[in-house]
Amino acid sequence: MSMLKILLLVMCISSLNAQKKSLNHLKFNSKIISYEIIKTQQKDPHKVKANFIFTNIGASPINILDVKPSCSCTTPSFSKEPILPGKKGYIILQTTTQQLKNNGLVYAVVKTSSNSDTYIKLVLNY
Amino acid sequence: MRLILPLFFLWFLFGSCKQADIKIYNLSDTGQYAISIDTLFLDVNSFSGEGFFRLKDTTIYYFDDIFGQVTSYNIHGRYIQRFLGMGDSTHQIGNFYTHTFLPKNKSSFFSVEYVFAIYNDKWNRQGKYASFKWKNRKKKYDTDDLLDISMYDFDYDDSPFDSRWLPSNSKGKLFIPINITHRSNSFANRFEKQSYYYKNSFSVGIIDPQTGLLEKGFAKHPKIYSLHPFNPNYDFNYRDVRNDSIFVSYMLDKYIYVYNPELEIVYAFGMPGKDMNLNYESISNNQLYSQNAIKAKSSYGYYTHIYADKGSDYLFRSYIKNNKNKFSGLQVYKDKILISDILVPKRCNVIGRVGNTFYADGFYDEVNNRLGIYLIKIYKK
Repeated sequence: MSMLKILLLVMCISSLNAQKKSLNHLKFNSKIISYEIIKTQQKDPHKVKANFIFTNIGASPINILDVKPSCSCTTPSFSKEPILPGKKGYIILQTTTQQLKNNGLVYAVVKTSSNSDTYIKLVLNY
Repeated sequence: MRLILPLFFLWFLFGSCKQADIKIYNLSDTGQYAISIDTLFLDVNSFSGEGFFRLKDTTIYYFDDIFGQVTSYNIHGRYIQRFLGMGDSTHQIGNFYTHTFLPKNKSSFFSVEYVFAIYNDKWNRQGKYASFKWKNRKKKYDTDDLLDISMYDFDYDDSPFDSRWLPSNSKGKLFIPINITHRSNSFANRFEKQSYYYKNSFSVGIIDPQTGLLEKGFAKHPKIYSLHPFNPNYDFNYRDVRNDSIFVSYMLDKYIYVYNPELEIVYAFGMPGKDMNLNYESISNNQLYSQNAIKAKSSYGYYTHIYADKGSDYLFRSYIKNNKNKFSGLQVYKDKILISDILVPKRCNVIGRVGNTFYADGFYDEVNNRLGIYLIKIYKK
């Protein structure tokens, strides 16, 4: 296949209608955290603790209602108080290094009181 | 000689032949049409990236199976509304595997727990969940009667670019992929007796999503499946329905098989995809099948999703080339003739049409929170 064809395809696909609108009210620093990035911050080498920080960019307070991990090997904890507009909150996923290595990743589905962000998926990659 | 040469020319021109009582067409005319592809980014709410798109009339739907949610957009990508969510009430749903719009404003979800759920056009569940079950008989084990529908299971595919497309006919019956697993039959299965299994077993089942009843099987595997010992990772099929004719395409086979509404095979057609890595490894037991599953789907070429457009005679077939190619292939057929074979993004499965624009599932970027659908147009040169 010629480079020209690939170039044309890439141009075509990226010449996209880019006026999409974000409807999110919670802005996360990252929804995907890699163990490689955070492993030096871990106190216990056998455990992994990933802290997902977010900001309420909407106009109303938002509650974190529930956090359901994909694996029973993962323990969640999260901000229990309502997150006021402009304020930050957290969701922590904690698992063992071995489980994370075996599974390749763990994720959790977060349920919130926001109409826009009713559910959010957070991923911890090995 | 005067007579033979023109006849030979006609055969060559029309490229058809008969094989095992099936008329086969190998027709290609790729110089007449040009194809354009663009991406329509959608207003984005939170999404999990585990899902698929559907198109109904002029509304785009994104089905998120992790969140149990359906989000609707207009054809310009503007957000309209969101429905369902995780739970057991009639306006909620658990994790689902796939969804099909049915006649009479109904729609059907199939979940990984082997149950069907019917929803109305307001996204309220109608009646109870219907468990997958088999017509007439209780499920049997360890018989070698491969025509006995009670031995078959719903066949899941774990291809990362799968559209999970379950087409329905005008009566609302779904055409599902079926197989006999080593769990339901210890010896007449696709791992231990491959040639026998593929020659004699059905690959497509008809199921009533209202009752969950698997009523009938048809479409025995094509010949290629009884010839090569690398099948279990590539024996999935893709189906679509147009005017109650059923189109069946298999991962390994360049041909698309067409069945009439009476489930009789009518003909087959198709041309091979370009630059497909066909050097498959041999797989002869269940353990090797599991060990090689990821590599099989990522390293080699195979055919995937088909879409037979209802208001025209276009048919689209997606295919994977190999692991080195960042793009995959999309074939466009007009009736039985291949009119174009183009490079497209890895996941590009045509799912519907509005006017002269075809819509294809889809662009997913969880990291940058972008969700999009591809727009494809066909131009006569």
